[in-house]
Amino acid sequence: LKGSKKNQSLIKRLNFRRHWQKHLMLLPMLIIYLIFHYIPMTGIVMAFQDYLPSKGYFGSPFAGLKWFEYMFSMNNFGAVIGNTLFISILKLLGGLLASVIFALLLNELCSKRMSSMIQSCVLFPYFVSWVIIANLLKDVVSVDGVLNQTVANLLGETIPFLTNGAWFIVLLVVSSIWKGIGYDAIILVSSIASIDPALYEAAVIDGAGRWKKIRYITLPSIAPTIAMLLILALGGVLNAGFDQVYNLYNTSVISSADIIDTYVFRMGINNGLYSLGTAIGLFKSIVGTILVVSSYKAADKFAGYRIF
Amino acid sequence: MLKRMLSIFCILAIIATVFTACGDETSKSAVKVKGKDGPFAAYADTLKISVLKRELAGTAYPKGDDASNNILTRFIKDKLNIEFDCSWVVDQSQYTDQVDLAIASNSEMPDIYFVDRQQLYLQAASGQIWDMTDIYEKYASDYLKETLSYADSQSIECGTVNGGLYGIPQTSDVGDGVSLVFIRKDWLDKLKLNVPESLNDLISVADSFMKNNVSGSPAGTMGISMAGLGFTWDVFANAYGAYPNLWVDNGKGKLVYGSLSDNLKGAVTKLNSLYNSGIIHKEFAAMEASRLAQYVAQGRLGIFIGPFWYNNNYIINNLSADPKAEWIVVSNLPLEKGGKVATRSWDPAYRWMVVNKKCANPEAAVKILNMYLEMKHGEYADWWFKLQKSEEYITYDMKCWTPIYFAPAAKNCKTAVNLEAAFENNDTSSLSAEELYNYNELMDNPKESAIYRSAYLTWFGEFKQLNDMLDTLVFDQYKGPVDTTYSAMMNTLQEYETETFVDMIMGKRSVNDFDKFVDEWYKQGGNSVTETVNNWYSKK
Repeated sequence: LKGSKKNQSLIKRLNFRRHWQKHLMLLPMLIIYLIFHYIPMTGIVMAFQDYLPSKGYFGSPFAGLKWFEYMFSMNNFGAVIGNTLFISILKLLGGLLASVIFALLLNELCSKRMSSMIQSCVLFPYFVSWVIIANLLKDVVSVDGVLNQTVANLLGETIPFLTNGAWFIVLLVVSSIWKGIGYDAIILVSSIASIDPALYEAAVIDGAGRWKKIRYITLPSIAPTIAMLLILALGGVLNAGFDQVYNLYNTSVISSADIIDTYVFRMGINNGLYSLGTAIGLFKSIVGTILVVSSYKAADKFAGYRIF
Repeated sequence: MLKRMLSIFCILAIIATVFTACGDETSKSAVKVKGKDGPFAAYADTLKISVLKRELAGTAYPKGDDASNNILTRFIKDKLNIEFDCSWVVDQSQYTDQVDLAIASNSEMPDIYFVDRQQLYLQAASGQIWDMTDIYEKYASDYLKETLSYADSQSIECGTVNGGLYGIPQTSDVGDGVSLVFIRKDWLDKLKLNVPESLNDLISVADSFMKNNVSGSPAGTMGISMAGLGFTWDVFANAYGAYPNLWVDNGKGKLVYGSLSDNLKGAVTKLNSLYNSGIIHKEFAAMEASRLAQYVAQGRLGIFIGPFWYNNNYIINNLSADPKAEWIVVSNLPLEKGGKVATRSWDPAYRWMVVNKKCANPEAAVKILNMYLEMKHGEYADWWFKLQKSEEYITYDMKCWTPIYFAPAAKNCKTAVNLEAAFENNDTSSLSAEELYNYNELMDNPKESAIYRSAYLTWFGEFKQLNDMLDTLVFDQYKGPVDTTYSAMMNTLQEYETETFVDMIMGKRSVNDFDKFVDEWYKQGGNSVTETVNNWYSKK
């Protein structure tokens, strides 16, 4: 929005009379957000209580910061946060790199039909649930699986993807990139498409080959988009992918693959420590909020990206 | 983005907000019985009982019937004038999770539902369920009391909270959690090997299976099945005289945690060497029974360790795929030939029936249990099994239709003994209705069929051996309350324990660290858990 409008009042800016149809269309979303995202926030109170389901919010005794103290005194909490950050950052950087390369390669394809076909194929795994993918994946990368049989024929030994901590993280990162690359590339592909073709024509006249075109035109043009994606993704850095890890991990890799969400799930739901689960969730949300706000500010500053 | 970040505690919160609002229903008034009250007394007016039913996946009903209205519920209506409302049906495998969520969300529970020990304590402590002590005493039939007090009433003890019987145990077959070792007999014969009589025999058999690639599969023959620290772990630990995950008396009137026993070192060392030599699968930690079952079906795995139902669920696939396949079962393997061993068993019950405080006729729950027992295993068993065999119902599994389900723990063992006698004397006159049904099931199928071979393994292998083991089975000796503090602590410690042992078996950690593990276990909360357990034990 332009600076001149900044000083107008919010009501005036929303301009209900003129855009009432659009506001009407927005209403269901607002209601959904209210019901599923704002009302449930009252549940935060559980983090400060010894919550008992049978007594509810009002009957459960107040516990102060007991669960937060408990959380920080737990032996493995530090390790769990470390795992979360490590896995998440690897996924973030790897995913971004892979999708940039993929978008660039897609752009180099001459046939438009071919390129859109490939894009839809690559996008497909994004829509498949991790429950299904994890089970397929376990079969593929297990010691007797297709992948390891091939590896065994070539190298003479198998790779313990499912039972070795380091290899398991490789599996997590690679499979998450594979699953998400199509979706991540969408925004990059469209940003490449919006580059002025005149720039390329001029470069060709100056004798630039494909390589030079990528280096001097495409990459600099999409750099702000890349920066924006990176900065926005920082806000979600504490989400290392519950669905994926929960469906893939096992005891032998738990020390290197246990992330905050899986930990909360086991403590909160399986062990019935609802208050502890909420406390950890709240802690995560606070850190997440700080990251979102600061990365939004950073996106504005470095990439000129803003919503409000 | 924020949405996903909040997701976990949002789930918790949604549950809490949406459902805390559910108000109290005015409790119904009690329905009276006709004439004299007793275990089988019918009600004067039709009594409606709602049940949170657990159902086996794929349960089918004849046309027009459903969970609340089928031949069995109509029978109970006829006898007791009780009608069922089973509008809330949950898949068996998700039952515990669903009840967990229902409790967490404080939702309106039906009159009758089934809980585990942790849930039982929570519900009893919050006063939401009936104390059934007197009701059970007055209304349970002698047959029911005898059935549910199997193995020194330990399941009744587990159902007791603060001196009151809040949960009525739903016993299941004692073999449900006893490890048996299934072996390909045809492979033993092919290599001219004897049936193993000890754990060390078993290991050398596995070794020759693999070395000779007895299966002939190009992918090779596999050694001994192992999926995480489950049934195979029990076999090895028990042979070394250790009982992981169980509280056992140390002989001085104190309960100690079995996973800390020095004997376990031997089992871990052994498994580590088997892991290194490849007899135990490299990915045992990530293995699941269903994947092992695939290897069995493909004929690559000839030593399969698990409870009796692995036969009907998994081995039968191999039997039908390979007409030459022949399986035998061995159990109670000592370390060395001639040695002594006692095998661990799960508790006879791992679910308890509880009755909602809002139900005005709690005694109806007990009457239903009485009636079910008579229907399936007592007075009306003839009717049941005749019906099951009838043309109309033969394609269905009738026991899936009852709103409640439990089984006398040692019933199948007794059946095995009686069947053997009937076979030898060729005389079926002394068999009960259910035994006769099993006998015919066996006789009606040709000897080469997979069904016959599997049933033969069940009755002349598995349950015959289980019957011999009945008196020596080792159960968990802690039957006290499982409150949230205890269970959370125990779950955390168990995670730590499993991780440690898996690492040791895989060689990531040395077995010499065992003492360090024990110290650490006590430090991380084991001390307080041991104290809780022994407080209960000393008062017993």
